[in-house]
Amino acid sequence: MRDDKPGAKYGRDEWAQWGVALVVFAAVPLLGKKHFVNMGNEILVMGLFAMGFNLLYGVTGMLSFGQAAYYGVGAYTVGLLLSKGVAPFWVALPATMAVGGALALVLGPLCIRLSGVYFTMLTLAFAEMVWGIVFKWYDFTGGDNGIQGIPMPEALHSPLRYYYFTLAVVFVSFWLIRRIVDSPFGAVLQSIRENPERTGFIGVKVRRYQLAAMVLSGVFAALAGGLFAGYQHSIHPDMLHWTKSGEVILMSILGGVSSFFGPLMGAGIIVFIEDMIGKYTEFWEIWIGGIMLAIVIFFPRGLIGTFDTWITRWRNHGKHAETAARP
Amino acid sequence: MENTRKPPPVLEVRHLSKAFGGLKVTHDVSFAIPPGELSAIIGPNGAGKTTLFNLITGKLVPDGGEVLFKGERIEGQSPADISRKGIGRSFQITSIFKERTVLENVLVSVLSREKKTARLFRRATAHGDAVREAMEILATLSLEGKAGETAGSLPHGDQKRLDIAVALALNPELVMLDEPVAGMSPEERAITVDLIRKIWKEKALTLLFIEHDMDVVFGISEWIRVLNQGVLLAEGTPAEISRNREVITAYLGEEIVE
Ligand SMILES: Nc1ncnc2c1ncn2[C@@H]1O[C@H](COP(=O)(O)OP(=O)(O)OP(=O)(O)O)[C@@H](O)[C@H]1O
Ligand SMILES: [Mg+2]
Repeated sequence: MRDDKPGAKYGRDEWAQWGVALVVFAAVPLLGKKHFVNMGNEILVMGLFAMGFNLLYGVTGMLSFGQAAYYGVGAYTVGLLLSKGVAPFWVALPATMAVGGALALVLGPLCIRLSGVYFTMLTLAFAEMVWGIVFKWYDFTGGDNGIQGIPMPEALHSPLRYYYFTLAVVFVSFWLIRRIVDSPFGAVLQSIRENPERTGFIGVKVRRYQLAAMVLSGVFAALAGGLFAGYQHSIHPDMLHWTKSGEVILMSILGGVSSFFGPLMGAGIIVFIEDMIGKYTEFWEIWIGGIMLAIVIFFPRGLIGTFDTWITRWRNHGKHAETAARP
Repeated sequence: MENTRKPPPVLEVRHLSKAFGGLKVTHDVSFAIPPGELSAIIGPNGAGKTTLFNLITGKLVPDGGEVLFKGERIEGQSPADISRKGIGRSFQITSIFKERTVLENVLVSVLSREKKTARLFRRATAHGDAVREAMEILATLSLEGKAGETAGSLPHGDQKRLDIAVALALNPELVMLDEPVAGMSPEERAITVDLIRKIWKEKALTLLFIEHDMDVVFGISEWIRVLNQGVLLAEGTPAEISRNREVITAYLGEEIVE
């Protein structure tokens, strides 16, 4: 068993991971290429989105296929507040968290009435509904034109400054997520993942905690969306599309949902591959959908989890063979 | 009142009924458990013992009848509400948090009882008193040496005892154990039964358990209730039950044949 799974004590391993992640991301601009700064920014944003998603999936055991709704709503909060001149970025960015949380408070109770695949289908359905509203409501959201030229404050005009700003916000969020996972509240979430029925029998109102997990996950997704809007200066309804929800699932599963930094790693890999392949094919998003479905169906424990199982089995097999061979 | 001599019961079940489809699994069952009693429920497979536990602890909603805990009606309430009132249970099919450590299994239960699970930013393991208490509970079941192990990797008997520890962490007045020593070796059974009896005594619990091992049942129970096909066939002291003709025909006879 890996000892870096959520809830484990801060191993030396994990401190090392924090250190490496911080140093690597802090050093990206030193490479001197604007392109790398952009990619780094996207990895940080998607990493935050994925880590927030994993609070729901890897920690609480709820597979939401609708997280793009929160991500997109966060982006539109920043986009609309800034482009309509209602509030400055410093207000709009924290506001994303309130809006994301509020949306989860509305949609969450409708979804958690069911569990398993049915929960997943409901999250998908409601997220598509939110996407539909954003897509169709031209007068307010700009419909499929999205919003362009989002005015950013002077202090964050330079991509480099924005990058470091994102880095700070994202790592503070990671730290908050880590604290949440290790808290009594996080312990309950993990109990729900392991055994929701028994969690009820220790006096926990399971649905309340599931809703709270959805709210927190929505808060971080919306914050990630808001950061993205500030960095891209333009947003589009595609941010709420199911493929975006699929992407964040794929990232988390790819990196490993049972290790704290797994989703961030997955985000790094996917953003990187997207950058390479995106140049050659437009069908990348369809591929993501397909790969994700295949993984969820054939590797329910995730790639790393499944490989872990295989390796353990193979090792044990080796051991048994060894002991059997001995007289 | 007529029963001024007796203390009021901790648990009382009145005319409880439950059917699955056409199958009457609990049929007009009534009994009362006085505080501090250590009692057993016995009966053949499929008699409805586990179902009775499920009706009392909120996993199932009865079709009819009442469940009173310390005089308050609780039937139909959620497991969470009933657990908080002071009923802790273990499960026939061991029910623990497998990918969590042994300590975490019990700690989350302690924290839940202390209503500290809404805390978001302080580490669970930094709650010193709760950790200490969890460790003490583990010690009462001889599990303190395995606190750091992953619960699912423990041998069967340890998992069964952990299931009990999770229930005890609620500090319940009434503890209900569903076949607590099933699947254990004779030595392990004896040890576990001793531990259970010791906990019952030290914590002054009211303890109700389901068990098929008649040595265990007749060895420690003060009172025995016999269920057969959903009906409470008889109840009494071990001596009375062992002499009861109906019980011998319905259940104990089989044991002797075995
Ligand atoms: N949820 C359910 N749905 C349908 N039938 C059920 C359900 N739970 C139990 N039963 C049936 O009710 C009957 C009593 O089951 P129960 O588990 O209460 O028996 P038991 O006395 O605990 O038996 P055992 O000694 O084998 O554990 C059985 O016939 C069982 O198949
Ligand atoms: Mg049973």
